[in-house]
Amino acid sequence: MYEIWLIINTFYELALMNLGLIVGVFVVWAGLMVATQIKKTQPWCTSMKPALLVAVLVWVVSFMLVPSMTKSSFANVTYILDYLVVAGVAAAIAGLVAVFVAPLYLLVRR
Amino acid sequence: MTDFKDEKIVLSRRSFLAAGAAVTAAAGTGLSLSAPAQAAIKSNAHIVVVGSGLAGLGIVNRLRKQLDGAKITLVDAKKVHHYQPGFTLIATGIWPKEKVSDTNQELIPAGVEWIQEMAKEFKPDSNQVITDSGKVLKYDFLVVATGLHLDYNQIEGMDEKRIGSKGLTSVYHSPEMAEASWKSMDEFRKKGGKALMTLPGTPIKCAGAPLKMTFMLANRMEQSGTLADSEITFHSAGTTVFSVPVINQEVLDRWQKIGIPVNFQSKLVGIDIDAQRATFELADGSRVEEDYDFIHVPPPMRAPDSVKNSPLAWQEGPMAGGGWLEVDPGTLQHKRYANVFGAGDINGTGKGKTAATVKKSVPIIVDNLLSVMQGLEPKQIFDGYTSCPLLVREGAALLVEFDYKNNLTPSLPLVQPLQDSYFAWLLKYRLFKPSYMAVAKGRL
Repeated sequence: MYEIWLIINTFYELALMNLGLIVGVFVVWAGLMVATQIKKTQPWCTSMKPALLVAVLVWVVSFMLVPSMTKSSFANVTYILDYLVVAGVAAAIAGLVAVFVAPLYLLVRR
Repeated sequence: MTDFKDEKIVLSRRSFLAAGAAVTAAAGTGLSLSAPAQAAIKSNAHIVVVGSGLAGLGIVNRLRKQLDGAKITLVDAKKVHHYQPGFTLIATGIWPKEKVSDTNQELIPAGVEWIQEMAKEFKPDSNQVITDSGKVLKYDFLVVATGLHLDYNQIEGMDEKRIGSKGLTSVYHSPEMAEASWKSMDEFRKKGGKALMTLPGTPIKCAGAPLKMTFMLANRMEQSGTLADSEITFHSAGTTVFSVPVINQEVLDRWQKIGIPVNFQSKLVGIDIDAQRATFELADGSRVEEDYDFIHVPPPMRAPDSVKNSPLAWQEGPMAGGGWLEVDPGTLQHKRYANVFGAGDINGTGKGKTAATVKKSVPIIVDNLLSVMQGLEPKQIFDGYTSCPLLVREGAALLVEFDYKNNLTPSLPLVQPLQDSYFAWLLKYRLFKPSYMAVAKGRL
């Protein structure tokens, strides 16, 4: 239980430290979402497959690049916990990209 | 123990409702995380907390949430709060110094009286703290969280102001001097030469920092291609380089592989900065001089004079010389003054002058203090948990966690303390400061 609380607090403080960036990203994403509503794009389900494909691609690339994005290198990823952490961070990046790709795809394909 | 019970203090845990949900939006921006459900205790006691480091801030933030009606006073002249675990990252060229400074004003909760002076004297027999302007603060309960004193004066010829020049470095002093140390390290690693890394014989905060500096110096020189033609020697004033035997051996094995010999019972006692010459005192009392191109000087450390010269300090035993606070290592309550608790680096306990110790001990101290305020015995016992993300090179670290008894106590089952790890690096590089801030705000 303590560990869960620790993780929640750590990411909460991390978010506070990067609040400007997070708000900026959210505003852009919200703008895209509004645009898909105004421009009467195709149904949402049509964007799921391309978003998922891009997410998988981004996950693979991110998995290789995450260590070097944090002043380390893949050579320092040495055991199961390291691999899990890198996979998790890469999944977060892929997820973020996917939520942008989905509305962008709808706007481009309308 | 001193009988401190004061009839004026009105306390009743039963008379108050448990408050708060685990996570709630709070006033103002609505962007706030509250601590898990906790009981608010009514009290009109006056609690004085001396020191606004991580421990002092964590204590006042927790007390503010858990007490209703108590007067809480924080005593410290410092206006800027430094994230000291980041100093090693600055001094090894990983972080800029701007990343470690915040203002105390932002971290002190509303409703806490902040006296911006230093404590000059403790008078526990009359429950008083005297500030440097002569102000007398009378308390019902006291938490001593002063931190410690960097005693560079114990090294003859040492001048902290010259850190960063003539190959003189020290990671502990301040963000500015950590940055100056990195500039020296950066210059030295490009040309190579002879480096002396030292460790004092006193208890020190972040005992891993001198080891991290050594590992990182070797790594930086390896990156520059100067390691093979250079010489790095480690001088320990004691018989080990780290207090936990298994970690001590691991570090020694690693240094042997990269060619860093260790001289034990070799205490830095003097330095000629201009001549770049250090003097070491050996076990038999003899002295030897060594020339250097680069030297790292972690200073001897002791309690600040205000504690060292007060009745609160250990009166005998191994902690008496440094004037450390005489607390029970389990409850962290003072052994002779029951209305006094110690938090953080000032405590004269076996080990653990780290932010990790503060993180784990502050909730225990607050809980025990609240028990004592209700006339109960302290019931929470601190096991001495501490942690050291030991940088071994740029991009990898060991995540070492242990307790008073030198047991390795990894927080997660998958953590392998002796394994070079990207995860441990990522914690140090990105995630420890956020968790530190949560501790300072009283949530962890």
